[in-house]
Amino acid sequence: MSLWVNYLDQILLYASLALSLNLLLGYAGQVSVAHAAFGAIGGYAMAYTTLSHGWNFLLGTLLGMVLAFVIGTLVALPALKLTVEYLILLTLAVSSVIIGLLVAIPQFGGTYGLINLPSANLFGWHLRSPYDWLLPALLSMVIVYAICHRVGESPVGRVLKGIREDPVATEALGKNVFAYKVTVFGMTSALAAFSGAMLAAWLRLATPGVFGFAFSLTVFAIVIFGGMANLNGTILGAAIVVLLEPVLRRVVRIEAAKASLVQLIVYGVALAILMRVRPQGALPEGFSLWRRIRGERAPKARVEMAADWVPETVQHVGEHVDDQLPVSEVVRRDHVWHDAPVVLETRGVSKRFGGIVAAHELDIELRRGTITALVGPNGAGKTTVFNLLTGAIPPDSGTIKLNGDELVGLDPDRVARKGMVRSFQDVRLFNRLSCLQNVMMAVQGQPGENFATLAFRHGKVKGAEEETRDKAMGWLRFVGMGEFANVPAGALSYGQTKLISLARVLATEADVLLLDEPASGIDTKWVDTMLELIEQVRDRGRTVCVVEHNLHVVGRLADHTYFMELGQITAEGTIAELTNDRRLAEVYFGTT
Amino acid sequence: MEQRDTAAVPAANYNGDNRAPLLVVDNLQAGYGRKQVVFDVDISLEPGEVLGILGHNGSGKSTTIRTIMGLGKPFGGRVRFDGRDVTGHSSRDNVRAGMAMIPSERFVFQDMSVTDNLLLGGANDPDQDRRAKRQELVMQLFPILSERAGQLAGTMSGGQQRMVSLGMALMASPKLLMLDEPSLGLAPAVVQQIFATVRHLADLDGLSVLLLEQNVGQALRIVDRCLVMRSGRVILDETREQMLARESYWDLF
Repeated sequence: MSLWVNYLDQILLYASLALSLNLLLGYAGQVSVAHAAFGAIGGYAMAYTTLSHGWNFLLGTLLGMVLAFVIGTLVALPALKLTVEYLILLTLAVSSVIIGLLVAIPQFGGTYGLINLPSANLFGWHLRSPYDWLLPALLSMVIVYAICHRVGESPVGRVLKGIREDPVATEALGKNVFAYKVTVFGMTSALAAFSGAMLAAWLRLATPGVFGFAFSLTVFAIVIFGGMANLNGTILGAAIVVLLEPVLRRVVRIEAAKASLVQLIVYGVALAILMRVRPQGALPEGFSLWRRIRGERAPKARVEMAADWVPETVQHVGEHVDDQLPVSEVVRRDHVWHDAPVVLETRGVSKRFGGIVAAHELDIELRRGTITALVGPNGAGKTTVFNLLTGAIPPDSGTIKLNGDELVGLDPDRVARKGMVRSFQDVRLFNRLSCLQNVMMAVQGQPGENFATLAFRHGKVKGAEEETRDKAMGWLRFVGMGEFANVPAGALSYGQTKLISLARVLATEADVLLLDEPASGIDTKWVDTMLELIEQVRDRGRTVCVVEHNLHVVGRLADHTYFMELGQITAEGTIAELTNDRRLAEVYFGTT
Repeated sequence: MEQRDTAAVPAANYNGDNRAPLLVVDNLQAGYGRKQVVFDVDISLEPGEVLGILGHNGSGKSTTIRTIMGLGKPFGGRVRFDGRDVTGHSSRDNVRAGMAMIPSERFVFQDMSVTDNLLLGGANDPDQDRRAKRQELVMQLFPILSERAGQLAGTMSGGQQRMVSLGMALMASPKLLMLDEPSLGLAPAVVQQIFATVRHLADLDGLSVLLLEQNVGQALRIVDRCLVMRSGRVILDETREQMLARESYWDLF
């Protein structure tokens, strides 16, 4: 019996390490194979301080966590600018360096490691038998679970998932992607050190073998078996992985020597089969046993209607969104371009990529309550203009002023927070998040997106989350997609994704909206819906700039049009003026 | 607006000669995963014919051509191409048999040069002269591609990448070209040029075309015949003249 209790301890301790990896891998999408090595830092710190200095194991654990946090953050700084392949390689290298160093330092017992630790002393209670460990192991798993759950299922977790789905789009919505990545990497490293220290205290040894590469893979397997971004799944995964060996040995009665070999084969085959038939793991993201028991259906309904659906009648501003836009700034349509105040102004903005001139001496003005169109041949540099304005590409020279503030030198997230956001030609929704979450992500100034507020101000975060949800719901209804709140964005048809992308841009409540081909690929009926929405936004005093090839769209929307060729603005005026120009008709507009 | 019983509209008589149709789709049922989104679709396409398939987002147009192409297995029905039953054949076999398709998403090999992308598009065509001619045609159609021949396709603008993917399909010298929203994200003059080229190839080389388009006005300039799809079914099959005679197309969608 004591043997099975021992396995139970092991499940709990493995699970607690895997939980923190799931936060990093499943939620934030950062593939790190150095997780076990950060566990080793905790294990060795605890083992060394108790063995050589007689510290209490909890104190040693704390030291290990601090060390792991510092090292984890330092590793993250350069590593997280890398693409996935290189991140795996780099964390693999970091893992080897850490384990190598631990082996190389003579005080740490070389390849033998630190063994014969004194039994852990928990406030006077000596943990000797597996039974003694049951409660502390459970407790440590619960602590890690609580922290990971608090972070993962919160506004921060939403941002992390956004980073996993599409970091560029996340940054464009005003989130400091790099800071989030570094913080979550440091934090999960510290949690790994905590679990590693508990594991070492339970084993009463810390050796290179315990925290070696095989262990790293085991923890990975737990997360993948159980289900990415599902913490309950990770616990289930730990149980499956840990119990495989004793079940083979005792239930199927394979002899001990063979069991470990068979176990490896079973792992491999099971992993291969799982990837094929259930890539989302045993408990997929968003699955909750608790909800199942209470009889609530998972929010996947309505996907059926996603395929063939015509938008609801467009709501008119004032019906539901009165409180979201300042009424005082309504600009009447007879007010045109000439009288409107300039909101965004660029002077002499240039950019070269090697020999190619992407932008040359651009002078662009966007004016309040008007729509400016940017047209021109493919490759003229229209999307590049958006990239320059939002800081995605730094200009070589020139100034970009938004309400008088210089934007050059700011990162895209700062520009977004200053009040200028963009949509993308290729839409870039967060496919595995629901439509509602896609739009919620765009709401600015959420207190729950701050790690510290999240930790200490539960009430404030909860209240703000309700507010965010209501706002996002309002914008979903505004674009006629309220019915789709719980549908994953990946299940939508192309036209619907365009509407969600508009709702997402609007939910930022930014002053200046840059829309990249908002109407392309949507059928004729929807185009009118889209145009009506954009007009309503303009009428509320927002400043809009569109890149568009559809002349029907430009003709109806644009108060002022810039014509771009080879990175330069070669003409501007009303669309009628431009289409009457014979040369422009030849190079762009064609014969109509 | 006049309410027509669309099912009663007879299939248009295509005024071609009496050659066998190149493509016959008979009672096609298709979808993705387990979900059926295409029901009872019949298509007959003569050599040299341009058939427009219209319908709003999600009406099953793309699923129909993806299934013909072999990118998804049909749930039921038959597809005959060039005198052979190709139902359930892989896209690889279908490309060898002379089909080409351009999806509506951007599709190029990002880390390969424009020229390499185009050459890859023509890799299945053993006729070197024809390949060279096609390359010339593509370069003529999209002069920017010859200026940027050595540039990595992934570094070009969205619209230019669409040009590369159109070029790749033309390089294959297909018998059947399936275009999913070729006008997406392209300058109006370029769209006109593409449509004119497609018509030209149909008239001169006997290229058959399935053209999926939102832009009804543009599509009607070059098609011989139009299908309109709604909720996965063909609800209308008319000649270009019949379509043009309508005062409004809105009631069809």
